[in-house]
Amino acid sequence: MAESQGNDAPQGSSGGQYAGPRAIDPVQEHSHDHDPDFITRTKFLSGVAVAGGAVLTAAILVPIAGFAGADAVKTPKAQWVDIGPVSNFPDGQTTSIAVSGQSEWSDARVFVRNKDGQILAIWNRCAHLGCPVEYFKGGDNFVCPCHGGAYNSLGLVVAGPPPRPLDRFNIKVVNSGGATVGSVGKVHGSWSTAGLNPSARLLLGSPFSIDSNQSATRLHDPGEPVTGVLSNLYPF
Amino acid sequence: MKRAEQEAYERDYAQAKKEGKPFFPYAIYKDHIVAILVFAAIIGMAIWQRVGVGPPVYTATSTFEPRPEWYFFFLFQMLKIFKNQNALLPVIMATFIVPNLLMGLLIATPFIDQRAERRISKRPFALSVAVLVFVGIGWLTYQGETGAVPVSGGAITFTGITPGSAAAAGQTIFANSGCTSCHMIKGSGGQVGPNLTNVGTLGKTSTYAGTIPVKVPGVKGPVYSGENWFVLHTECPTCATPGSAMPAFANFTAKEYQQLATFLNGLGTTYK
Amino acid sequence: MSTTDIGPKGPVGQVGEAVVEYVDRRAGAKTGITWFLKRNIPSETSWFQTLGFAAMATFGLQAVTGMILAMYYKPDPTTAYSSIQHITNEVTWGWLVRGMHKWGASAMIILVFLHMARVFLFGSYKYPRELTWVTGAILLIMVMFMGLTGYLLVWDQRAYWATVVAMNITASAPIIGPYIADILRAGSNFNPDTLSRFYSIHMLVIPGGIATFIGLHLFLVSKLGITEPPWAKRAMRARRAEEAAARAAARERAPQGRREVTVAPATQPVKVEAGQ
Repeated sequence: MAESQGNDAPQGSSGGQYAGPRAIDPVQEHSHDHDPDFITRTKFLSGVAVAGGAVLTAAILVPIAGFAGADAVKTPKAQWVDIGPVSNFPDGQTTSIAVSGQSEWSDARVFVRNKDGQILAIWNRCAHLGCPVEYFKGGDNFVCPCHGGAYNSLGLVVAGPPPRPLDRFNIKVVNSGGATVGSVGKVHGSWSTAGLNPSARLLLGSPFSIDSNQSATRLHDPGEPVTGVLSNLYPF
Repeated sequence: MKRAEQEAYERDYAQAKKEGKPFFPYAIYKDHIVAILVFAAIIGMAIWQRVGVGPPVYTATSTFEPRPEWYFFFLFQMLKIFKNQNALLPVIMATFIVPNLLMGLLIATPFIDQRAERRISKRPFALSVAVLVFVGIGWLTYQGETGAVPVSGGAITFTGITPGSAAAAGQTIFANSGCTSCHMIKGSGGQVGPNLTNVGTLGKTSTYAGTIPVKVPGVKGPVYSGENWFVLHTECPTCATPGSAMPAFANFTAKEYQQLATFLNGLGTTYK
Repeated sequence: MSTTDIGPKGPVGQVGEAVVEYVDRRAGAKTGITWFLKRNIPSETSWFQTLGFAAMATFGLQAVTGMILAMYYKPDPTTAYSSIQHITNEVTWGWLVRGMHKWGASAMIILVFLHMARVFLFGSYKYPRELTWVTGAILLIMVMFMGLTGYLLVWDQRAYWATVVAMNITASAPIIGPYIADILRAGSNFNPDTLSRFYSIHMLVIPGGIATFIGLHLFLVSKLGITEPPWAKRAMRARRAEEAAARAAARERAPQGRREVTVAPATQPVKVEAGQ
């Protein structure tokens, strides 16, 4: 016979020997909310809802990002455009022409400089912020109207805020059959005029940027220096 | 703001509302009147100053000078301040650093200023910041507006210049050589170099003992003054003004140098 | 409406009332609208506090004139310029709608700057309205971008070159600048896709953002209430009363004039001041 001292209280657990469930206790529903290993229906469906939301968002955003972004950051392919016979660009002069039909750089203004035995094609896009640069015969220089950036005959900076020289275009000279004639000039992107047939065609290719020593580098956007500490801000 | 100040404000504001008036009509009637005035101004301007279109897009231009809409003039002018003069003032100061700094400070204002005081007379720092920002933006906008567009083509008329004279030829050379991109004369031109409207009155003289690139008859050193000074400066700016940022214009003919010098030397004296 | 309830209404009034009842039983409109319209605001609000509403009304004007312009505008480089000329010269009142949109843009910028100045000078950005200020600052930036993107759509020399330079400025931002500029321009240089991209941003992307943030901004303004100008007479009265009460309380604590009476602890003999 067990001693029945504290057995009167229905929820008795004080001082008694037996602390487990008794027949007299109401059935309690265990809440498994805080039990990490037990997956309740609520927990499962919450997970489905959140994961479903993530999938829906991705289904909208991923195609959009690809659509709006991918083409935009691809480097465009440029074709060689015929800009006329070599005789159009007389020796000792810088000739200004408008070039169209060259992929994204359609209707660009190019200054073809034929001097010192080589032909160069200089873009009129100012290296500071992209304003159109004008060529002045009197000074044999290029001046940008936006902030007074001035470049010399070769497109190298002599005054003002541009961080690097004017960009140039790749050029080559072909004969009427399409075969390349002549040879590359002393700097990248130039073509030697020695022994060139005046009726050979000059072709304009893709643009590239140069530093103050006329060494070529990949095309940069305006405002980006190509040498110095700040050029590290534009690694791509 | 400390909790006590916040609660004091809540109590004060609750009292203000208790003694206040309903939103409709006492606030909304004022809103409507002012909005009507604003609309009247917009419609009035639309009728009085008709909006047109400029010339169509020509991407291969080399003579067009880009300018932004007026409300971006203050940013545009900053580009004329941070001109890449040295490594500490790169172009990205004006294009990236300063604008983003201002935007960041703008958004963070309520977290920077957490004092409870609202009367502007007791917030000297806030008042000076507001005055500085608004006067600064206003002045830069005004500067951007009056930063005149260079006129390339000799459309400026001067009294005292007879057509066909050397000075007239000099003015044409000036207009066609890009000089107005950096120099202003009679209100037209850039502001990179000095204003030349009255340069003839300055009596400029320089001493330069070297040889100049292009020989012009009658122009010889070592002392250059009057028209000769202008010939020297055009051919070799750093010879006449050491440290000048002006590029050398060494490709004119001797006659062109003389005509240009005649024009420049008379600016402000004979030609106005 | 209490003073107008003086008798049975005519048929128009009865139908109107029935409609209101119908909607109210289903949507609770009366409660919401009554709260919004009849909530109290401080009685001494300044006329400068109308600038926010004026800015919003101007945004509404821009939205409506923009919608109409969009019915005639053709966002393709070959036809954009001629469609603008068509609107300006041939469409009935096209010049007026275009003029309202163009001048409305300048008005919008001026109004949001003035509104911001007013809020700053009144100190209305302080507790509890910090988030209202943040949403407003974001709205200001979005309005400037609307000006930038809308300007290009005319596709004349001014618009084109101003936007070329603006895109190059974006590209000059370190590391990610070139990519952001490429995405905005749809390429490394201006091309036909640039115009339609700017059109979509100007018409749909940013207005969606502005509408969202105006909604947040208005919700916060309505919930937190319109501020009282700091120099309002009621506020000064309350402040003076509070200061007077503080002074009275201080006097009460020190009844013998300026000297405070301190009672030393009981363990020490009490020092009697001479002449007290």
